[in-house]
Amino acid sequence: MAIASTQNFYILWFRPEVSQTVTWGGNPNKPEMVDDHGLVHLSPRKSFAAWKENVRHTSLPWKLCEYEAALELRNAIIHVTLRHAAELSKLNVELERSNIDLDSFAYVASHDLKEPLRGIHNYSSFLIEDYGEILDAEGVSKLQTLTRLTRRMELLIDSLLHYSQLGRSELANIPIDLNILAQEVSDLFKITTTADSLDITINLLPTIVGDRSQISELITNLVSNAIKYNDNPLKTIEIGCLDSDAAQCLQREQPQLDILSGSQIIYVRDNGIGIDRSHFDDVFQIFKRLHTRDEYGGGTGAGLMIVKKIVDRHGGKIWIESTLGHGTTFYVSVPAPENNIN
Amino acid sequence: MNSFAPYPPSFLQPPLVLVIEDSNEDFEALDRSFRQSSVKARLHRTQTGKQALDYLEQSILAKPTHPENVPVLILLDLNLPGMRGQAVLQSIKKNPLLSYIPTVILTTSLNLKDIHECYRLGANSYLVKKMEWQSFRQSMHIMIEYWLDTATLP
Repeated sequence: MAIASTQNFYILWFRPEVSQTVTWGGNPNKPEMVDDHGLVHLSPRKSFAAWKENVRHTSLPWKLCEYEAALELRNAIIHVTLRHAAELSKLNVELERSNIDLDSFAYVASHDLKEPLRGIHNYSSFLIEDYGEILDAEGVSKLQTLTRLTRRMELLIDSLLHYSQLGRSELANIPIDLNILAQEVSDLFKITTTADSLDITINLLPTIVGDRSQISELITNLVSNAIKYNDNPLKTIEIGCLDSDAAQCLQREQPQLDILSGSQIIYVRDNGIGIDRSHFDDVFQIFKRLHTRDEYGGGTGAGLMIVKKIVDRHGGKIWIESTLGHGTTFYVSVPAPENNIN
Repeated sequence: MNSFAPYPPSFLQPPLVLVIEDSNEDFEALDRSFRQSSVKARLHRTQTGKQALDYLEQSILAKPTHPENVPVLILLDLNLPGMRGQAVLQSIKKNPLLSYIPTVILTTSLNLKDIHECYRLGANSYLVKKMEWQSFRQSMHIMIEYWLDTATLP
C-alpha cells in the first residue's frame, strides 16, 4: 500500500500461513496423459477414493474490515506526515525571519555601532592634535589608550560582522588545488616573517571542492595561528593530507569524530606552545582566548572560530591533537564532493 | 579670458563641495581633513537627502547669476535618516541637469550589495570611511586632490 505518491514509501501487510487439508474428488494437478501418437487424453478416474492434499504457503483471504483497518492506518500515517511537514514549514518561516534579523544585526553592527565609536576615536585624536602641547605626558598617554581601545573595539565589530556574513553568504564551490593555495598562503607569510625563523613544509595535497576565498582564509588562519602561538626561534609548520589508509584507520579508531567516508583529511602541524586537552573545544568558541590580550601578539580571538565556521559550512569536521609544550596539529576533514552539504 | 565680460570675483572662490552627512562628528572629521588639505574648497553641508536635492535644484536655477553655488563635487553618505543615500544618488544621476556632477559615496558600509548598487546607479567613486583618524584623513586628502586638482571636471 503506497503512503505517498511522490515518495517510495509503502506499508506491507503480512499474515501467518494457514495450512489446511482440502479434499478433492481427484488430484487436480494430475497431468494429462499423452499417448504414443501424441494425442492428449484426460484419463478417467479409476477409483472412488477421495484425493487429499495439504495446502501450504497460503493464508486466509483479507476480510473487508481488515482492508478498512489498513486504510485507516494509512490515513493516520499521512496525517502525521502532513502535520510534520506543517511544523517544518513553520520552522522554515522562523528560520527565514531569524536570518533577516541577522542581516539587520550585521547592518546595525557595521553602521550604527561604528558611528559613535568613530566619533570617540576622532575626538580623542583631535584632542591630541589640538591640545597635545597643553596636556602633560600622562594626559596624552591616556588619550592614546582611548584611541587604542576604540581600534580594538572596531576589530571586534569587524570580526563579528565577518563571522555573521560567513554563515550566510552563498558558497561558490569550485575545485581547488590545495597545493597551489597552500603555496600562496605560505608565500604571503614568508614575505612578512624573517626567512630564517619560519619553515613551512607543504606535502602533497589533494584537490578539493569548496569556496576558494573561504578555504584560503581557513588555511591562512590555521597557519597564522601556528606562527603566533610559537615560542621557538625556528617555527616549523607542516601542511599535509592523510593518505587513504591513515584516513580509514582514523575513521575506525575514532568513530566519535563522525567523518564521512571518502573525506580528505588535511592537517596543519606546528612546533608551537601546544594546547591543553581541556581547552580543545574552547579554542573554537566565539572570541575565546586562552592567553591574555598582550601575550602572543594580541588579536581578537576570532581566527579559530572563523575556521570552525568555514569547516562547518563545507560539511567537514575539525579536531586537535596536541601536547602542551610540544606543538599542535589541527585536522580538517573535507567531504568528497558528492557528500558536500552546504 | 574674455576681457569684455570679466569673471565675477565669486568665481575665484574655492570650488564648492556639497556634503550630505547626517552625523555631526563625521562631518567635523571631514571638515577638518578639508581644512588640513593643500587643495582649498568650500563645503556646503546638508543633513538629509531631501535638503540636498532641494539645494541642488535651487543652485542649478540660480546658476546663470551664481555659478559658484553649484557644487563641483558631491560627497554622499549612504546611511541617512529618511531618504536612503542610494535613492539620493539615483535622483541626482537621473536628473540631466545634475547627473554630470561627480558623486562620491562616503560610507562605513563594506557591504558588496551596497557597493555594486551604487556603481550601478552611477556613483563616480565609493570610499569606505576609515575609523583610524590618520588613515581617514589620508584617504580624504587623496580624494580631495584627485577630484579638485588632478581630474579635469566638466
